[in-house]
Amino acid sequence: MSDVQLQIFMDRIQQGQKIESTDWMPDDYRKLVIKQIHMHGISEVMGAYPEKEWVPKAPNLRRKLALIAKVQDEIGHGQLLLRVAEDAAKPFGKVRDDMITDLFVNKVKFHNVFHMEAPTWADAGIIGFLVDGGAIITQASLLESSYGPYARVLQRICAEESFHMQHGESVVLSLAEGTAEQREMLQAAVTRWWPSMMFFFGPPEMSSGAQRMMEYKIRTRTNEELRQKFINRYVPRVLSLGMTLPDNQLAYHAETKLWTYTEPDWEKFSYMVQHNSGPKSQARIELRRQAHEDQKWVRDAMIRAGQVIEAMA
Amino acid sequence: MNQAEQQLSNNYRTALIDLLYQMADDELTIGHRSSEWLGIAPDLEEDIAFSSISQDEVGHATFYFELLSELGEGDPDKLAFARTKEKRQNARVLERPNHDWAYTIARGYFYDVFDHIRLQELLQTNYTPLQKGVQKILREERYHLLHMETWFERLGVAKGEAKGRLENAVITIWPDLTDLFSLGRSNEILRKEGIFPISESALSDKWTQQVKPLFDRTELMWPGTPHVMTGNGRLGVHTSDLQQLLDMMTEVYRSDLIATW
Amino acid sequence: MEHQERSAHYEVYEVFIQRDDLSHHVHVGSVVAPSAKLAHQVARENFLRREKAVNIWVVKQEHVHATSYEDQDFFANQMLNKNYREVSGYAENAKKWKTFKQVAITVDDLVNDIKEH
Repeated sequence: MSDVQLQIFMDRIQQGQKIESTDWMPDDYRKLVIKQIHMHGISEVMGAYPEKEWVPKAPNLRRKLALIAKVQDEIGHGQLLLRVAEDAAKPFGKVRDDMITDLFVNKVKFHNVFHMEAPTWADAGIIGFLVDGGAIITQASLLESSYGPYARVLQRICAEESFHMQHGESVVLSLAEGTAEQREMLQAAVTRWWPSMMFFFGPPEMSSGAQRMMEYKIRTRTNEELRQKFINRYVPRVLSLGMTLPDNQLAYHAETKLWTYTEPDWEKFSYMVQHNSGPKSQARIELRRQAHEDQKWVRDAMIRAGQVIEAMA
Repeated sequence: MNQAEQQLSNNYRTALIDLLYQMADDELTIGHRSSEWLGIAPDLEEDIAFSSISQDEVGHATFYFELLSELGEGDPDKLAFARTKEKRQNARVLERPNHDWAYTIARGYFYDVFDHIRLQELLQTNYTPLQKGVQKILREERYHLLHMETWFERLGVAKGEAKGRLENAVITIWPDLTDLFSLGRSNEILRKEGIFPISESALSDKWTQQVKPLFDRTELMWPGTPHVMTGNGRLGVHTSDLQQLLDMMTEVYRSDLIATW
Repeated sequence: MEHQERSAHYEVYEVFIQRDDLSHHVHVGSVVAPSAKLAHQVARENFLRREKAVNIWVVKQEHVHATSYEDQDFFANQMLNKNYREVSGYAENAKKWKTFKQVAITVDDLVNDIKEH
């Protein structure tokens, strides 16, 4: 790579041009794009599991239908994103199989929230309300990404998230209006998920990789900016339901236009994500492993059948 | 005044309600089982496709429960969630666990062929609300049948492990199939009253005519027409698998029967 | 006229145009051309004499696998109400938020939050 080539590339980024998978790009850029989108895609796939646990138990027909549809969309987003990651990783010879199996050997991480337990029906609602809210804020910021295929696919993803948001809020609102037990269940879920949501956007001090992604405009907003947007929108909404948040430092400061909050245990959560040591990490990875490895026979059979049927035609 | 509110004869009403329970329970049970594949299907693209099928099934069940509700049977959610095992009229094969992908595809294919025949016959029903819904539902079911048939054929053609698993699935499913063709205690009346035009044996024959050629094409051994009745789900005789399914499905619902969720 | 032996002929390429960076390619028609490279070059003038674009795909027609127009049931998946998966199915959320003295928000509100720096 010549300095001139790199300069032209960085000029394109500065001018707001989009980079495509077949364009020339520094290896560093390609690797960061793959890492980001791979992680995003796998997080969508793993993000299906906490809610999947509640599909068979959804308490009425409409909730059952909506939850199936929502989990389906999550897998769908995983599919869209992994396809983009696979195309970006084509020069490295990576295909779908590699993208999935990387998870089993800890070569790709997924979001902290999907390592956590969802022990009650209220958790299924809170995931749609808070986790999807956080995910939408993050994804909205990525609509400006310099990587064209990512920006394009995120338009569709954000549009589909609009139903997720309404579904989550609908479940939460029903519980908030409900019996004392239902409200208690909701409060417990809020308390359980809040620290995870504070970690969700990442530490204020961003990693060198994250900083390089900012330079390349693969992402354009800081962790702290996104967290502030989230708090600003969601704290008043949670409180309005008569719920409390487990953070006594939570306060808005008009002069800075910023919220103060108690920092989550960064080390604990980072360790969990790095080592897949959360309460549900291993069980959910095992589900994905079963889906993928234990059913290799299905995919192999379909390839074989395709060849046989083609030969007959 | 719509037909549901009209004075239907007792015989007509009872038979119609029976048939609707059979259809609603079939679709809810298989829809629930299908949804268990969410997130664990053999590939992501299929995961999404299969999930649409489970939504359609639960959606169709909802439609039939709504018809029952119009006939005075009560709230659709209550019908779906509060009825005990003995009240359920689904075919037993649908309550069985999913086993592996081959079992799921074989059962799905066998059921979809049956359901498709049932729906086509119902285009002639004299109960208009059902006839109108069936016209719509039939169009969705065609995709289910196409999808299941494509999978079934390909697993068979692939030979090797896939075919072996498919053969095992057929052996496991076969004894469970008999009550699929049962029309329950209202069998005779359904035909006499013009609600459902054909007999149980005609249903079973039509099914065989459609399924057997695919066995031949994929060189699967045809186990003969299913005939030994092991227990009739249409009469509320079910396996413990259904109890386990219901325990799971109604866990939140049962935790507070009056709450709104 | 005597039947002549058919000479070699151009192949059909289907043409897909991407209008801008944030749009997906859209099919606009087809050309006959002796190669993919020339298909690109003639597609430019056949389809983009007036419009702008950022990319063109050409795909040999024989590589397109289409569904059947005759069987429209293939697309029948909205036969019964499926508003449980649409925003429109959750209109009551707004009323409920109101009772909690909050307004309903949509994805667009969150997207606009981001645009406001």
